[in-house]
Amino acid sequence: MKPLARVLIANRGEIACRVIAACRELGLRSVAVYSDADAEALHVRLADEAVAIGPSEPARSYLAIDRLLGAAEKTGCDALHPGYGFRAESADLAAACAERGVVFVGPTAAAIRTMGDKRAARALAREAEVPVVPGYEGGIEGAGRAAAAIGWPVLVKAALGGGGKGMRRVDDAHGLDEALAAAARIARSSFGDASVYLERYLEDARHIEVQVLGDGRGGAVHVHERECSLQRRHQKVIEEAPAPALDPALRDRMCAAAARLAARVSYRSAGTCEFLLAPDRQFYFLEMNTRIQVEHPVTELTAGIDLVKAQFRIAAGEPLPAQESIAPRGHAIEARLTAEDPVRGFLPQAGPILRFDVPNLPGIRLDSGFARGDTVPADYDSLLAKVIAWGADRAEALGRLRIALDGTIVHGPGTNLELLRFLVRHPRVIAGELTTQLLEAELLPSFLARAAGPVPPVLLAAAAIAETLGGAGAAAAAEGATGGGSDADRVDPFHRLGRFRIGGA
Amino acid sequence: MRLSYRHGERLHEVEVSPLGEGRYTVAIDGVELHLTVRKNGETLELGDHHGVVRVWVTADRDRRFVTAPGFGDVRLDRIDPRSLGRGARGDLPSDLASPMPGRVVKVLAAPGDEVKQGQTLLVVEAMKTELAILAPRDGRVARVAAAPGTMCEAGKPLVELEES
Repeated sequence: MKPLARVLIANRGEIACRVIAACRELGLRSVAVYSDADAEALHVRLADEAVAIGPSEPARSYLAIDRLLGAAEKTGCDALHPGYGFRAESADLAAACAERGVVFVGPTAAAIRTMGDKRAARALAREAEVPVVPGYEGGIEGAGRAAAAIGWPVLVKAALGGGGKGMRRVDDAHGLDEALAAAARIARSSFGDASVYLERYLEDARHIEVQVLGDGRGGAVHVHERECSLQRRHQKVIEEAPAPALDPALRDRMCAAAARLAARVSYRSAGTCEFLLAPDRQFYFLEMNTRIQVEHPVTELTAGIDLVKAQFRIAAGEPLPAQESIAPRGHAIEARLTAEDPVRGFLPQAGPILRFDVPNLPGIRLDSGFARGDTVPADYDSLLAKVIAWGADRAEALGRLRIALDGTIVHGPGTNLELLRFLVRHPRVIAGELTTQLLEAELLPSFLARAAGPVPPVLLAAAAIAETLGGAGAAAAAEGATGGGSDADRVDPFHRLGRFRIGGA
Repeated sequence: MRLSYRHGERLHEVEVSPLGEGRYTVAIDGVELHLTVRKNGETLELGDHHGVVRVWVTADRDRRFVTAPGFGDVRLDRIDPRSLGRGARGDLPSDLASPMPGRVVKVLAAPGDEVKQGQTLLVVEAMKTELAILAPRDGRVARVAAAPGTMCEAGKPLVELEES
């Protein structure tokens, strides 16, 4: 296989920036694509070249396979990296790349198709002796009896779905027919196929997933696990590696199961096997994500493996790292900074970023899709950046993340920053006692109750004093390029005025 | 200097009295703080006898963004005191506006339509989230200032209702 030279990055935002960084390290030329809404976006500025591919609607730009491949052809790219989201898990894109002789930096179309059908993925998992959540994949006629046998409550899921979309919980036989019909409707409109299946709903489970790398020839290694139990509506908010819940024996069994499954589909590139861990410490395969994940940095920081570079190396035909050589160290935690307002039902926010600072501190990594002065468009998902902390152990990583989030400033679009700050100091999070329901059932209500409290007086005082400082007033305080970190007499920014301090841990 | 800020539903009155040499008295809703103030680069350092906290303030028209590590963030709207009377009478941003900038995906009302309270008039989408704009009361649609596929700003009314 000849080495790669020029890569089309078929994505935007932080993951496009992340892939561009890997290209630069590997000496590959990076070609960004952009919609009208992203003409001045950070990924466009960072790439070696950039190609306009259409209007801001995703269907006519980032999702349009012909436009992506047209851009690759026009710029002479010999490879395409899909990132995550958009067409990353589209077998059609992988197949179209193969047809045109463009290397798809990801799995084969066949592996994407197999794992994309959750019933096929479950069947394959059973063959590979990987436990799956008890479920039912047969016809509608038998669903009622099957659900009773599985045990209530059950989940109705779309066969071609994923990430929780269109999923419905049913508590008894009463609501089953209606839930099946509704799920089938959503499955047809969202995934083009009305097939659904049933799974037992596991209470108080944890979300644990295993990173794998496959060579496409039946070889596969695992790069250990991540825990992503802190979720809202199946969207992960905070992720970490290693999983606090696992002991070495259970970790070995879960990681080996994931590698077995990846080998079974002759998986190529980076992928993730998602599991639920029940309170009785049984684990069950949920689905495989056939792409790089948002939360890949926590694995990179602990395992010391650059997963995006690994994807390129595998795409160029290089061998996998040896399993024995993969020995994670320390602990890493990621917080997803999104342009959503948790106080108003996580309403998406957009608009210009007037100020954006994440403190540069030991053990902190920032993967961002935006810089100060950029505008967050309303057309795409709300992820602004990921703040990732590494520490020798979990307490050190969490402490570093707490300090980094406290010192992070985003002025402009509303964000979830206050929620993140609340989460990293919550006793349940500190104790590592997580479940997939914890955030929505317990943590979010107590955050919202606190957010409804009074404004700290120091913040009102500062706003008012800024107005009095000359004609420009507060605006003057907004000018200047940096956080002014080099002053010799710098005052510790984390020193607190005890008197103004408000409640909360 | 007397200033008024709105935070969510609440109004706050702040009076700033400079005493010279970087010393200030700030009364917030009648409660006094005695502070020292120093500009350091683009930040303000506010001190009292407990210590010093660094604060970032950004202004954008009437909006103020304030962050202080350890105290969190706040977004405030500076209110012109003369407009307070109006505000108090409920002349706040229309509930027939999108609360977020986005794209109008559906227009379900046309001028002349009689609509019921709670009826969906428009659907706006931003960042994969669809939001229905509902009729806040019964009435007749006087004007629709949105077409499917067009972008909309936050707070700008998209539909006008009149008494039917």
